[in-house]
Amino acid sequence: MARRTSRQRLTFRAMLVMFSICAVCFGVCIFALARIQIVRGDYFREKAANNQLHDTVIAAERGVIYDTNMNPLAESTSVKKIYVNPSLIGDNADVRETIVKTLSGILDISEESVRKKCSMTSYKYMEIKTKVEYDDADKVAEFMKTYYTVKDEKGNESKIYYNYYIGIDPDVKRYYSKPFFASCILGFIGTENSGLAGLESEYNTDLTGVPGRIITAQNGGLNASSMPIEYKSVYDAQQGNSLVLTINEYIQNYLESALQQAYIDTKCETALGIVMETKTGAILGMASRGKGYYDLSSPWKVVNESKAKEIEAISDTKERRAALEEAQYSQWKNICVSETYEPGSVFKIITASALLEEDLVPMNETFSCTGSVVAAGSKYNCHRHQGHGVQTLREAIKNSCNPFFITRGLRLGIDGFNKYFEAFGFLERTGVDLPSETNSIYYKIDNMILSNVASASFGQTFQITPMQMIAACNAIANDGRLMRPYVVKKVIDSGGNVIYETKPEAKRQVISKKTSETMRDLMEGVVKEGTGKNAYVAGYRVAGKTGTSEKVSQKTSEGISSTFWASFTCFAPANDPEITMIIIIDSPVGAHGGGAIAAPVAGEVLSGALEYLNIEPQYTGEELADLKITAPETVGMKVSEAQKTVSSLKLTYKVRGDGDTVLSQIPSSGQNVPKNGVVILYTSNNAKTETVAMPDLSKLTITQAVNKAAAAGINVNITGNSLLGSELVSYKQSIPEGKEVSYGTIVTVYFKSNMGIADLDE
Amino acid sequence: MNSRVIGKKIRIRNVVSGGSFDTVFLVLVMTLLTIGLVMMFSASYVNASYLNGSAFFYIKKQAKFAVVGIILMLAVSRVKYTVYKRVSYAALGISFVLLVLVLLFPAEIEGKEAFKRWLDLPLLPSFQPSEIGKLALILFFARDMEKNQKKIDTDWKMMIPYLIVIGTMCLLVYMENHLSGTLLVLGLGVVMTYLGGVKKGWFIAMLAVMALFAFIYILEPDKVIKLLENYAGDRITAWREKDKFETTLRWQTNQSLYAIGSGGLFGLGLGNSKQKHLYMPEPQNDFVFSIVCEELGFIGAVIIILLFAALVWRGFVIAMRAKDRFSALMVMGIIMQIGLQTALNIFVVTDTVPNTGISLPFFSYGGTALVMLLGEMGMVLSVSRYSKVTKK
Repeated sequence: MARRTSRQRLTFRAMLVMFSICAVCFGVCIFALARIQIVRGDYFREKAANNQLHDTVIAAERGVIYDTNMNPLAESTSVKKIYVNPSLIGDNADVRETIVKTLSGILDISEESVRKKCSMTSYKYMEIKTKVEYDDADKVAEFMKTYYTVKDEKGNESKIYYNYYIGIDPDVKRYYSKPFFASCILGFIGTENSGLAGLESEYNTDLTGVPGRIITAQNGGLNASSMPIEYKSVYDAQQGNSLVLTINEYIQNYLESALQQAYIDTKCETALGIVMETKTGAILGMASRGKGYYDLSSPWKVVNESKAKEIEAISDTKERRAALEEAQYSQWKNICVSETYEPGSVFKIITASALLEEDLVPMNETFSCTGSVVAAGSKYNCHRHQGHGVQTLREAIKNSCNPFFITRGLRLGIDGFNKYFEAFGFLERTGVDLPSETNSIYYKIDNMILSNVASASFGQTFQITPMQMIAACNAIANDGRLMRPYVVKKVIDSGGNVIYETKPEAKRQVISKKTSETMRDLMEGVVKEGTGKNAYVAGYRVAGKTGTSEKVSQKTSEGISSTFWASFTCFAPANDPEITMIIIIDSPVGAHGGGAIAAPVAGEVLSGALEYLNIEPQYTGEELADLKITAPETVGMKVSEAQKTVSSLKLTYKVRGDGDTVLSQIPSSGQNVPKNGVVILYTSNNAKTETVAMPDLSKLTITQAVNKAAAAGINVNITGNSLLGSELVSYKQSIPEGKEVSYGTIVTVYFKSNMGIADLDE
Repeated sequence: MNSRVIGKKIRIRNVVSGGSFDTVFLVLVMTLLTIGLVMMFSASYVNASYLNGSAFFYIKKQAKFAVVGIILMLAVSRVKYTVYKRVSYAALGISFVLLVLVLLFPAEIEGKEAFKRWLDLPLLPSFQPSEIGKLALILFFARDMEKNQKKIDTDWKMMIPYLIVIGTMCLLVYMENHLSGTLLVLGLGVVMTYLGGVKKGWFIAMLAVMALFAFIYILEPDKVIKLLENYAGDRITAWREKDKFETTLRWQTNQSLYAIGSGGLFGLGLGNSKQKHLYMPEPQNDFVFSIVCEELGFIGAVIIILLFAALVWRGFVIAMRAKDRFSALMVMGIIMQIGLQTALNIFVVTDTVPNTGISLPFFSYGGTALVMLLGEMGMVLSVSRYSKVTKK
């Protein structure tokens, strides 16, 4: 090879260098890019997406809980929550104090708590307040638009807006129509928007819905905001489904207020009641006072004030917390399904049904109660120590005679008794759609001996839930069909479409229709003439059974001190039952008989509920006679003439005004006036504005009360068993004594009997 | 291959008219500059608007310097290249002075106090003396190797001054805490000695020593920790252990890879980068190319690389046609510097080499660097005006 010129050699070297740069270096570049962009592109794209895409959860709006008439009982509303980013505030005291002062002012929380949160500088997200209403959130938003200026060393000013430190996120708040209403059924939700008790918990999945997501591209700045890039994927939140309950707001209301009164009057630990639609098993109302009663919007607050103070006073933190938790659990517990009680004499209806179904007690068979009986090797006392004398099944159930049911119950034998015990559903949970339902406490069946049956046949030595008892009583009322109780009638979506509808479910035929009819008749006797007479509602045929059982018995220095369960279960109308009810009063102070304190509560609820349900009254002849008095027409008459007209109807009159002609009257002509009632005759128009103080109408017989009221110019509406005339005593009036009312006002007075209603030792 | 290139050369010779500069080269420069400005704006505006208050913060400055640079380029292209030959030794001297000055009185830039790369002199915008140094190095080698052309491949002693100059400059730049600058000076020096045609054996020996050093440097950064500043060691560690340091040492590199990877084959479209939204730190500087890759995709990136390759090729064509050895070597040096820097920058953004901090010519933000670059382009154009072809 000839020696190249230096120029040629330079050209060769230049070529080599150029080739190195272009082919080798740039080649490697292209190779590296191809590897990143094409071969591993997906990997890096995913990494980049993780970087840039931010997921925002849109809370699904929780479904509504409606009563049976679509009146909302619980609803969710979207609200806001306010948070700060303490890591950005750092040790900037000026900024922190401004934020602390402003937020605590707007949000009505202590400066101290805000300051504490703002000082936790290792956190980027500290909630200051959740469930903030829009008004307040707007004020915070206004504050976030303000700024302060900082100067750097060069004197350049820059603005820092408070939105750098504070943020607003969506939140949801649950509203309940009334603070305590149906609390044992509805339950409540926790901070995470999920149900913690009651239906809110049982139907949490239905109510919650599916949260949506907004995926946005956000920039990498400290206070990330969205990129001005068309990238936003929205997955809509699927709204929670709503529940339509079987609960009827009105009936629930009657039940709640009657129980409230009983809770105050009897000073009991707990008063509970369940109202059921007889033919379907649908729960129309369920409530309690004491346990299972709390403020739905602040469930953690202990309702019982003295209890709350007691807890507050505990000095040991651990003990205080434990006491608080216990009190909270107790008030959240739906004792209608989660606790058991001893049914006592109420259970005799089950024994009676079994005996009738098995044809073991002829209706005309008599039994002589001497006050005690020896059966299956043990001696049992009747609550009436002197004995009930000779009686049939009808009378025995009316009087709640223990020896009768002990001796007749034994005829069933262990297997026979247990057959009905099981058939009436006392060995299984009722299956009601409420959380934490518990089961009965009963003998181990294999180990039972005959004396166990003797005790059990009048409702002692075992415990059942109130729900089990009402379901069993309902089976007696419902031609022998045991229905599964339920609270949710249907589940509907946000558009109102029915997702699920509960069909009434008959679990089994427990007794025959014939036995059911006989039982209804026998139980009507209990209310008409027996221990349940305080549940009588004029115009309605009520059937029921009272029960009183000893809860705890302690020997003290003063003798034996006991606490009791007073209960009453009933249904009406007796010939074609529409509603079934149970009322239980746990540990009343003073009077503790089911007939004395539980039956009147049932009567009050029944009269409201039956009327509300438009159930046609079936008045007896005597009742009709009472109702027949209508006010005569006296307007335009001379006063003396009017007085004569009114008196002729055995009504009293009261003249108001100085005129000699009646200008108007109350009640006006044609309206009902109670027997011995009063008609107000106005002879001058200005007299109409006069008022009178409401007299005290308590502890009076019907006649006494009506006369006392009439003398004052007030009419009385009698509630309670109006058939039993003289033995009834008034115990409550709808308008308190001393209140100024206009003449002719109608006051409702509640009467009850205190005679022949005992079913346990007195 | 050789014959093909020569064939092209013959064809082009017939086309180029005498006395005027190389239009193809100018078109390539202007194309790269235009694309560079557009992409730098696209990469920078988010950062600019968030951190500097105006989306146009960087592009306005860069555009002004680009105008100044273009004027300078056209002016320099009118200067006869022999002027540079005369000032070459002086230039080297001055650059050494500046390189020492910058170590003594570095301009302090907030957050980058460890780096002593910038020098603030009265009446001048702040600049990097290493940029001047590289050009001075090219001029020195071109001049000296032309002068000593006869004995350069026979006398081994010729290596001594070259090694001293390269070594001293490397050391000074290295003391600035400027690893990439050091590597560029070293690369330039090595290639210039090769192009100048030093004794082959000596050149190979030098390469071998350097390769050994690089080998130890890369594989055992801890063992040479005393030689290296901490930051450089960290960067190598970060490069070697790719699964670690996600939010610290590897943050920028990872963001770069996410950006490049997101681009795919066709890219997200001009302006549509997501990584530039405050994820990629300083996307207008050294990592502008990753935003280019994200927006224009693999195809766009390859086209840009090919444009750089075309520039290198055209530069070497100009060098080949240069009238004398000095101008040929000078053009080759300048062109090679651009080529090396481009390749090195892409190596960095693709995580092929450790993150050393090296800008992309025509693309990265930096006023004085751009003006100097365009000035150097003017020098290449000036040589093209005196190419052999014009004599015919």
